Amino acid sequence: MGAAFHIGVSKADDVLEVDSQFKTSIQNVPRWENELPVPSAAVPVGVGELPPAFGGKEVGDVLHGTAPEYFNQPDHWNQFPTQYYAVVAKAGEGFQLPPSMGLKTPFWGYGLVRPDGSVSPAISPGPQYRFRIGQPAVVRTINNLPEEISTHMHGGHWPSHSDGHASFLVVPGEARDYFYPNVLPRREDGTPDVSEAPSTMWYHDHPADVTAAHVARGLAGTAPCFDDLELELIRSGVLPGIPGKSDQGPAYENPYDVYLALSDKVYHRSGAIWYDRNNNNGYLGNVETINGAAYPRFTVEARKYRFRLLGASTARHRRLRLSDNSTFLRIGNDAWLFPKGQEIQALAISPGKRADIIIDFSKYQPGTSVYLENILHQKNERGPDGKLEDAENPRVSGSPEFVHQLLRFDVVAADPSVPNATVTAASMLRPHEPIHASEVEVRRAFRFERKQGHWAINGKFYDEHVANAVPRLGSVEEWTLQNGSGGWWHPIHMHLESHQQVRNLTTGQAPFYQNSFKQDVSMLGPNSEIVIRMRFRTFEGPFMFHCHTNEHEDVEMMFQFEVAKVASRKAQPVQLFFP
Amino acid sequence: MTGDIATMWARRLVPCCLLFWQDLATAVESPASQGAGATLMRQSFADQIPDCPLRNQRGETVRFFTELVKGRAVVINFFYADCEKSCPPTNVAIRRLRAGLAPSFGKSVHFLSITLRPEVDSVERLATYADVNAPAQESPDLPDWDFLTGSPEDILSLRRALGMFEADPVLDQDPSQHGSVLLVGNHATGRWTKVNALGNPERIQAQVKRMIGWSEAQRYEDVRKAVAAYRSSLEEGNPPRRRESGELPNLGALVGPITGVDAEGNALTTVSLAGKVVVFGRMDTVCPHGIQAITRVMDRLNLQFGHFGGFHLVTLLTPSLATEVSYLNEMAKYAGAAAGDPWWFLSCDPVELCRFSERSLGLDPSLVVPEEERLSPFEGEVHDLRLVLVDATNTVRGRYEVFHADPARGTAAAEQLEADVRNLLLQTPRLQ
Ligand SMILES: [Cu+2]
Repeated sequence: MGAAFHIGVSKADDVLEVDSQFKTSIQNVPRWENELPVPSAAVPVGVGELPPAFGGKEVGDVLHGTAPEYFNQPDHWNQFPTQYYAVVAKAGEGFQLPPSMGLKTPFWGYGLVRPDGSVSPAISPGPQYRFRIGQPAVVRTINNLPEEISTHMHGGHWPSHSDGHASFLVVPGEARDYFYPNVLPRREDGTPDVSEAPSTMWYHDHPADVTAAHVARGLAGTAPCFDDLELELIRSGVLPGIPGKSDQGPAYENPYDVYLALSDKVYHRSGAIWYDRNNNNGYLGNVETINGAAYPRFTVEARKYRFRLLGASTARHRRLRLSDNSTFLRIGNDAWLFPKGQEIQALAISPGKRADIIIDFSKYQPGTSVYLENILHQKNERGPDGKLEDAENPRVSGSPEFVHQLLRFDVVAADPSVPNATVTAASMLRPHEPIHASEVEVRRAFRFERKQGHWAINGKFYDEHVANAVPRLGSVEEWTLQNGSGGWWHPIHMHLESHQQVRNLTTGQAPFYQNSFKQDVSMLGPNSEIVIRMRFRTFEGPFMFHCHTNEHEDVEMMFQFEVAKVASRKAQPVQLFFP
Repeated sequence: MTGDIATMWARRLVPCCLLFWQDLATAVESPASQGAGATLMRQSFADQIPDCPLRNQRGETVRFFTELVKGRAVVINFFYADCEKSCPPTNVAIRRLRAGLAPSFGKSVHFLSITLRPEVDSVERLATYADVNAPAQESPDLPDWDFLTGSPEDILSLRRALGMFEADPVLDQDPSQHGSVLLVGNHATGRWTKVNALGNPERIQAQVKRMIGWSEAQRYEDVRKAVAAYRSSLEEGNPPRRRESGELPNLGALVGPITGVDAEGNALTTVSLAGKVVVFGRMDTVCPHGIQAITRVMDRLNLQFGHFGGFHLVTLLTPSLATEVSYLNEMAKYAGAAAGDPWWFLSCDPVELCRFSERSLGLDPSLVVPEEERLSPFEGEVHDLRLVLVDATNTVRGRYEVFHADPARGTAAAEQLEADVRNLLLQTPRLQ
């Protein structure tokens, strides 16, 4: 790279501040030595019939069982034969810091069971599930860690048993058969709601009290999902990919579609991840990693790439831009593609959120390097500098100006045998079905606040026995989410389905373009108040909603709604329970 | 003082890191590597816990980290002896937790209460406080509970290190902000969390066992029990709904409703409470201890279940006491009820109240105390002050003597009532 032409200034020596308590932490990490790890596809142990790797144990024949829905599947759930996976949550070790530092990092991750029953070494982020709407999946999750786990497949539409509920655990030495039917919710007339098909999911650990520590230690992974509409966009060359290959399951192999899981860490000088389990305000690291590697570089062809940005930190917020401040195309928020993309120069990403973007490297000469950089300064756990409304502002601020580079793209010539993707801001992507006020059946309000040294919602704390809201199955509700705690930011995550932000009561304005469709995490800035609408379809039972600053959810800023045949305006004891 | 802590840290870090390297060396490719994670987390936390000297209620000086936390399971809270707001209910919760953990933990968990006002709370005051909350004679088999004081600087640094500190200085000065938080952790396993003592006691106990248990068996015992219950309900062919064990007795239906007037002068009738789980309390007494005991229990029920649909509280008074609307308001405020809570304070006709409480609630008739036996001019009558639990079908399911000469029996009755309310709410069809 001696002759590389750098776009934007290379700022490889800027250092993130770290709490002085970590006195023996690593301060300086060489940049751009690591190659970006690209998560490999999870390979099923079998398709269509019970695989030998399940050891003769039928689905559900493990301690924590499977979802009742598995035994009661409507015909239309089985368009394609069921895929069976088996995965082991276990400890692993590998290079997260550049190998030149000579320090391996122990972590917690996931190792896939191979069809012959052997187990691959643990990786973090974990193996990438590639799901298909219409093709059910069963993931037998075996816990070989010394602590309890609960895997939440974030952004999908799952039965309560398999949703990664904070109190539906997998205890050490046992297993749970997570059942992912990969079905679309149905409209009132019985037709599938294609607008709700997720694209960009991820999974992470979600057990009560210990989520943040587990996520910080590495229990997370990625999971794209494809439906006919999205596969057609790839096949026809609109979205990046190799037509005829990237649209074919089960591998959906696509060198031009890459997840970037952003996570900040503190490393002890031995190379181990440091995490303070008694800081319940938020974990801020001084070393940025992507897909489990600190400050990596990624070689890209001079063409369009799709990146699925993922806020995998427990507490850090970021605003991202390219170092030359050029525009890119945002095509989705959280799990869902927009109806049409939008050209922007910056985007905000909080814990739990995803942003699907297209970067066109064909405008750069081969040999050019360009950086992905974070321009949002976050000095403490409360939240970042600046306002929520500045989410798309590409200007750097702070004194000195805050710019922290995370990833270097090295541009090489494009492979001429694969045409460049045609997607532009004019391309039609996924249709959107707005929820209208007339559909709303029940209105509720939730205030997220600090109370008695804890994080609370409406003055209450998480209790697995209490359904804090009971929406009717198939209904629409409108919820006001209010931030009542001075100066703190809370990204609010709703399980089960997408929600639609309809109003920002603080600014009095409609949400800006990127937030006006579907989301599964809505940002609540300091003292802000928003109105969302949400449908509750397909599955009965309890589902979580909570702050996605994982430290906040662990000290009880977490509620659950229980979808039931009869709604209730007030809290109720939880009835369905899948321990 | 802070300088001392810094040097102390620096001193301790050296051996700590050596240990650390050893762990890593053995961790590579060995099954023990799973333990390495916990070890690393534990040490990152241990580095921050000050080893400051504190004095306990027996006047002994103890080092906080090395003698109280290192290698131990602990439940830590901050209090001050004069606190009348969040500390007394927190102490009740700690006593309950201590008794609940005793069978499986014995002495292998240690309760530590550290004063927020070390200037005032001397060793002598701690000793008195300990005598009230953890009398030595009643607790030879219970986990140890120590009350600690120290220098204000040390206690502040302790609170910072333990995360029992508010970033907002105004909030931090308000003891009610941390008065009910329990820091529970096991230094040996590296698992720590914070629990609010005022929550559902059953849940707190299970949560604490899971967080600080020494073995997997101890940690996940309750989860395995819940799984077994769930699986057996599946085998019986029942829908896997949560059920609490223990059926409540059927003590007869309400014969009729009662009507009364609330603080706003509205006439209200219990007819409109049909379909709800209701707890009735009589407060037509002048006995301050009785009023205090009853309102405390009803307040806690309101805190626990007031936000639930299908739950209601009714306090019954007579006009002789509730001659003025302001009295009802005062009563509600004293009891802790807020506007909008499902809690009525009703002024009723005395004859009707007697009939209702005897025939419908099944309470004993009031006794008139002969004039010569009265200890004070107010002691005209003795009332049956038991709280009465009525289910959604207007059937009495229990009467609870929460005001009892023996406070332990009163507390037990209150706990039983709380559990029974939860149980009934689970079985009650949901209302809009
Ligand atoms: Cu939060």
